[in-house]
Amino acid sequence: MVLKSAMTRGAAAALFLVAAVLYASGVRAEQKSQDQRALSQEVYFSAGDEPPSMDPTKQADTISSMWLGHIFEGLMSYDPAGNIIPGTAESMTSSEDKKTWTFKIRKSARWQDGKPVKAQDFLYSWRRLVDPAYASEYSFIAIAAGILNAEDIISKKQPKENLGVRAVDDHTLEVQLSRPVPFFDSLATFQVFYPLRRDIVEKFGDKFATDPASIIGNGPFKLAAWQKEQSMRIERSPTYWDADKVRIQAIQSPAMVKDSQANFNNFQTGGIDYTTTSSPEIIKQAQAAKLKIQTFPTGCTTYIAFNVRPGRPFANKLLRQAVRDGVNRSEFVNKIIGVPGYKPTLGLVPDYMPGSKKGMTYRREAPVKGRDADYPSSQKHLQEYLAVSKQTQAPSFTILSDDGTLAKKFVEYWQNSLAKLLNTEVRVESVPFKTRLQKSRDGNYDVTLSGWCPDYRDPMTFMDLFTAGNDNNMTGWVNKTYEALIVKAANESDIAARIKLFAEAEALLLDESPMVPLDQTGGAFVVAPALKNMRHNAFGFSPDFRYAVWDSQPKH
Amino acid sequence: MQHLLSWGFFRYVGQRLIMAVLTLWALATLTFVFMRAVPGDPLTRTKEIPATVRANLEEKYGLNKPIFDQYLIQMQRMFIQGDFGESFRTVDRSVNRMIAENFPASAAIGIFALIVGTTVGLGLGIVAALYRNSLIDRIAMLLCVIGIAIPSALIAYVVQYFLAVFPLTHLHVNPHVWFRPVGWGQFRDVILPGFTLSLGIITLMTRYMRSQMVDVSFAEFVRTARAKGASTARVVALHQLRNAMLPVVSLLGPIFVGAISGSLLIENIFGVPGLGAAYFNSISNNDYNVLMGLTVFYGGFFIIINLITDVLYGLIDPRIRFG
Repeated sequence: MVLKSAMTRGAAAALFLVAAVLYASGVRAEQKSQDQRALSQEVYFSAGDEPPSMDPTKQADTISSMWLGHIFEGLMSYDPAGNIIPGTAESMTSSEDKKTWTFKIRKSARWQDGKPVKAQDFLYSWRRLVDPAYASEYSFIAIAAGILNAEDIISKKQPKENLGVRAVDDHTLEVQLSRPVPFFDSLATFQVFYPLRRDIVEKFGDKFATDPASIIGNGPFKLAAWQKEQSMRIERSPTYWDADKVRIQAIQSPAMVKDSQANFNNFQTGGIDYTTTSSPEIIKQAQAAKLKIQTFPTGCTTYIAFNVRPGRPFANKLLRQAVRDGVNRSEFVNKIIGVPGYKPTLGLVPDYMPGSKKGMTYRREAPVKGRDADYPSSQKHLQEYLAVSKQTQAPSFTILSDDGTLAKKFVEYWQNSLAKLLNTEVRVESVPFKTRLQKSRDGNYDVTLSGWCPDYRDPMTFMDLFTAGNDNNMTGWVNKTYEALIVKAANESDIAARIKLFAEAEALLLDESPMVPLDQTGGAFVVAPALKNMRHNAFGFSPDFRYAVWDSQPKH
Repeated sequence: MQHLLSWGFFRYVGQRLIMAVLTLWALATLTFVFMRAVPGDPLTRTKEIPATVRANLEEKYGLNKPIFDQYLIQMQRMFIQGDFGESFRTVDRSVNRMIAENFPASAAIGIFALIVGTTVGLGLGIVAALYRNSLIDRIAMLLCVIGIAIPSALIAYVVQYFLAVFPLTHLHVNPHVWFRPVGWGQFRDVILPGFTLSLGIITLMTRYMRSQMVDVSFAEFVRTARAKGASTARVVALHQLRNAMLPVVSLLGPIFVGAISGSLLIENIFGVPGLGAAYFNSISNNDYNVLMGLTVFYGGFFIIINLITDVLYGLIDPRIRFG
């Protein structure tokens, strides 16, 4: 009896403890049902993870970008069709040589506390970006953008006040570039170039952008609630200059869940209105539930990277060409990746990169020769290789891979198909992700699966990857003609001539084949049928709810 | 109770506390060594950070200092100032804040799991032992084997689907009172992840309690009690149970720390804002401060819980004396 009453008391105390701990652990806010959300124009979705930082200058990962893209607005912005349009700036002019850009800031642009947005706010933010003491990981974007003296400031050779940016008056921002950058308008949409308020940043110091009180943006939404690792909520800001166009009243991530199955379950029960379905298992479930699956490009290109250094199996171009022509990209994309939204590609530069004329893409102006799974051409190169090298068989080689579940699945496919294609022995070296990075950077591999995601909206972000000076060029491939073409393109202010130079360089790269493009990455998602006009951007941030609207009650 | 307040007791606790600090220091040092032996650093990215930018970041975080200096700085900050430093990944967030904000959620499901797991496990173990080789015993043991064999992620998905998704989508239960598949902030949200987490504890407790009960039932004092004519209920409750519980109590400490230390999978699947994800991410991101901070935090927790368990042991078992 003594024991029993002690246990009862113990259990009661423990339950009380759970309740107390739960109370201490977070919000007790009520959540709305999907019908209620549609009525009040609110969207629930899962942001996937805690944003690494809400300071626009510090980080530019996908989750932070998504929230910040709604809370802030750059000089330029994207319209619902993905075109670049004036944002906080009402107009933009560039000099003939594309080296001086002048932005006129809207007189109606307001911060979320009602104060006007000034050119000085951009100047402050951009100087902070390149400040070596602040050490932004993304400061290199200022170098890619060609802003005058950015590189010297980051490497402490000049003070940050020498940055080529000037506030001519409260509403005029003038940017000086060290070389022509015809895509500077797309850079002006990017989060590290958002404006910041000096008084707010200095008032909060280390605590800046760590809670709703310490973040004041100039965009269509303001941060309303943030429970770490748990939930986040932004609400429509009435001070936004174009607030009339914003229909959604609030966007909330009721839980920060990365697991795609859990998110899909939550979507199925009406807990959230949107979720990505980027795995074959979830695609199957969505199909079984007769949901409409939509796709979008996520912007990156995946490729087979060879180590072309002397002594390595793929030092010889003919063998690389045999792989380039013989791989079956469609089979890989459809059967192995198995997520709609991905597509096979022959070229390095993705299909959405803009071309020289409005409405044209780079790819349509610079088509790639050759076709997928061209087995006869592959055999021809292989025979040529055997003849030239006086071998009877292609050399055996090892594919370097990491030990993630997906990587294992992919490398198994390539092990089999390359062995069959080249009729040789193919081994796999499966190591932890960071070891793989280290080995590929050290040039300590034969073949590996790699990829690249763009930093800005211009073919250059892909093309300069294979120059000798690029830290991320692991292949060891160096080509003087290629280098010259890239340098020429970097200094060319005529857009059409630039595209031609890129086309020439890309053709050379694909002929030499230090890497073989495989696919352009994509994603798939499901969304409540009544929730319209949500967008995904290959650039900027995704998902984008700025133009979204519930057009009727959700159907059950 | 007399023996608890003796001089020997205080000396014992004092010695244990000094040992605890030394153990923690050794743990922190080993963690430091292993952490730095892993390839890469907190600034390793799929896209390499340009050298000039990296130099600024290294300077800011003190990663350019000699490694022994970094060790001294980290130890001093941790053990003297009680500050675990800042995360390299969720920049601007201190590890101390992370623990304060997210540990309660891990603890909530952990404590729930411990209560359910211990109660059910002990009960099942006792019943299985009393009705040894009966159908109940067989079923209990079968459940234990299943519990060990199935990975917890799968169990979590099964629980989530059959206890939340299916009732909501097919049986149309009232979503305002029923379990949510993903969510946090109300008591009902603790139940599914807590239950999932408790399954492991149930299996462990059932097997352990059953074998202890069986062992004790052959003990001479049980036979003596029976011979005295004590009722079965009295023998079980006062003689068997009390003695069988003793080794089980020593298990509770480690199980408790295990349960509250955050399960990445369970927390992620049910949307529990605990420390599981942060701990896991800290390993894959070489997030030195978070990895060190959480290891020392849980290590300290473990040491203290063990100390409490040992003291409790003395309460239950009068044969144990401190001194």
